[in-house]
Formats: sequence, structure tokens, C-alpha cells
Amino acid sequence: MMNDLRFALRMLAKSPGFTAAAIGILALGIGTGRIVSSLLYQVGALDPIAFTVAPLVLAAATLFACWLPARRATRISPLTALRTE
Amino acid sequence: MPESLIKLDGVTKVFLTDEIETHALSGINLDIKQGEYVSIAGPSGCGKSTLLSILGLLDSPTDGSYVLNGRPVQGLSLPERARIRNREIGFIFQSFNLIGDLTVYENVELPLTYRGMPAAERKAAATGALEKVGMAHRAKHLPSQLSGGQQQRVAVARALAGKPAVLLADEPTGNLDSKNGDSVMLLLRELHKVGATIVMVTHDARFARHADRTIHIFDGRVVQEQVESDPTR
Repeated sequence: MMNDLRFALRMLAKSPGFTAAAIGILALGIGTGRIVSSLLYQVGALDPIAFTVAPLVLAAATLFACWLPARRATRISPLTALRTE
Repeated sequence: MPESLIKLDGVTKVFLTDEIETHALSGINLDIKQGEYVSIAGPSGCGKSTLLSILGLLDSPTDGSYVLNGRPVQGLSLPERARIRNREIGFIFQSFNLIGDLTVYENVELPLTYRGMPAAERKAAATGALEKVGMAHRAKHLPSQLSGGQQQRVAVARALAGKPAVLLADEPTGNLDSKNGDSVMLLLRELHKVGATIVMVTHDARFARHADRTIHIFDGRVVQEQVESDPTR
């Protein structure tokens, strides 16, 4: 788990553009929420449920999208994998 | 007398493509003792890499028996073979096969992670293996930052870290210039001197002479066995 986390952090460090975009989009979400707060109906600009559930749904979709090809990869014979490397 | 580590009896391998049968190995008998350094030599396409794949449990024989470390392994399931491969066999490939996104240290540590080894033990084993091959100072580098010879030394460390029963090397110098090739061969010889069992496939007679015994293969058969009276050492 810690290895995966270290790997993820290193990938983020190696792709500063992607990291900046992720942080920027998060900040933009919070900023836009505040600006349009008067137009929101029955939900606050910093609604904790919206800000928790949305990332969770996105994370679940990402995990599923990673799990599918990973599962396929584990079923390839090591000999085939080595030959095609 | 050292015990048999690898014993093949009448091993054949037939590949079927469309309706053509290719006999890659035809009745191979082989006995490799603990602590031996054996090279498998022969021309391209003679079946030596197929033999190494079978020895490394990457492939299974069509017929015949294979006993590794006292255990028959020719009929095991894929997960069982993967488990034995991880614990008993260290691979050194011609093209190194290091993972480019992982550091040198992480590459060496990875097979131990799959084994479920505790973190402290993994660290000690990976660091120890890197020290043995003289690459500890490059632990945080990526493979792309190293020369071919250095990458192969890391691959040797990865193969060694799990203390396998046997090291299988498939043309370990094939992608290296002669200087780096010599250095990797020297490293293998040093490992053999301290007890490692090594089986190496090569088509280079100069490197085959580093082993105690050379098995010559032609058309899927053992045609000659040659004991080196004075291996290059």
C-alpha cells in the first residue's frame, strides 16, 4: 500500500502539468461554487456531501477502469509477456 | 556428492501451429547438482531457450518428467508454478526486463513484495543483493539512467534477492558490449564460487567456457556434454 502511494506521488511529481491541472480544477470547483452560490438550490457552495461523494464516485470509476485491464494482464502467460516486452 | 537440484527425464516439447508440429525438444535427460555452473550451448533455434523456459517453469513440457529440488513440477497448476518460480528460481534475461517506472531498489524489491515478505526483511534482502553486485549506490536511479552493464547487474541483484535455489540466465551478455559482457560473466562466476547454482544459455563459446559443464543441444536433443577441465576462472 505504501509502495503504491509512493509510486502515485512520484508519478504526480513526474507530471507537474497533470498535478497542476488536478489542483487547479479542484480550486476552480470551489471558486465557481462560491460565485454561483446564489443560484444553487438546497445545496451550499461548500456542501460537504457533494464535495465528498463526487470524488468518491470518480475514484470508484477510475479504480474500475484500472482493474479491468489489470485483470486481463494477470491472465497473460508470463512467457507471452516476456516475448512481447 | 551434492544432491540433484534439477532432474529432467525424457522431456519433450511440441509446438502446434495450424496443423504443423514442431518438435522443439525431443527426449531431453538432464541432471544438475546443487552448486553446479552449467551452460547450455547450441545454434539459434536448437531449443535451448525452450529448455530454459521449461526449467524456469515458464512453460510446461509436452511429455516427460521434471523434478526441481526434490519435487515433481511438470503437472502443477499455473498459480503453484508461479509460487515456485517466485521462491526457487531467479531469472536473468538478455534484455534485462527491468520495469522502467520503478527505481533500481524497487525493481529488486518487487518479487519479494509478491512473496508477502515483511518490509524490514525486504529492505535487508534488496539492499544486500544490490551491494553484492556493486549497485547499492544507484538504488534510487531509474533503469534508463544506467548503462546496459549496470542494468544487467541490477537484474542479477533482482534474481539473487530472494535467495533462489537456481539462477537461470538466458544469453545474459547478448545485449552487452564485450567489456560489460565480461564484467557480468565475472559477477556470475563470483556468485558461483560462493555456492550459487547457475544454468546459463549462450551461443557464445567464449562465455560457455566459464561454466563447469557445457551441454550442447542440436535439433532439440543433447548431442554432447563437455566438462571443462579448466573453466575460465
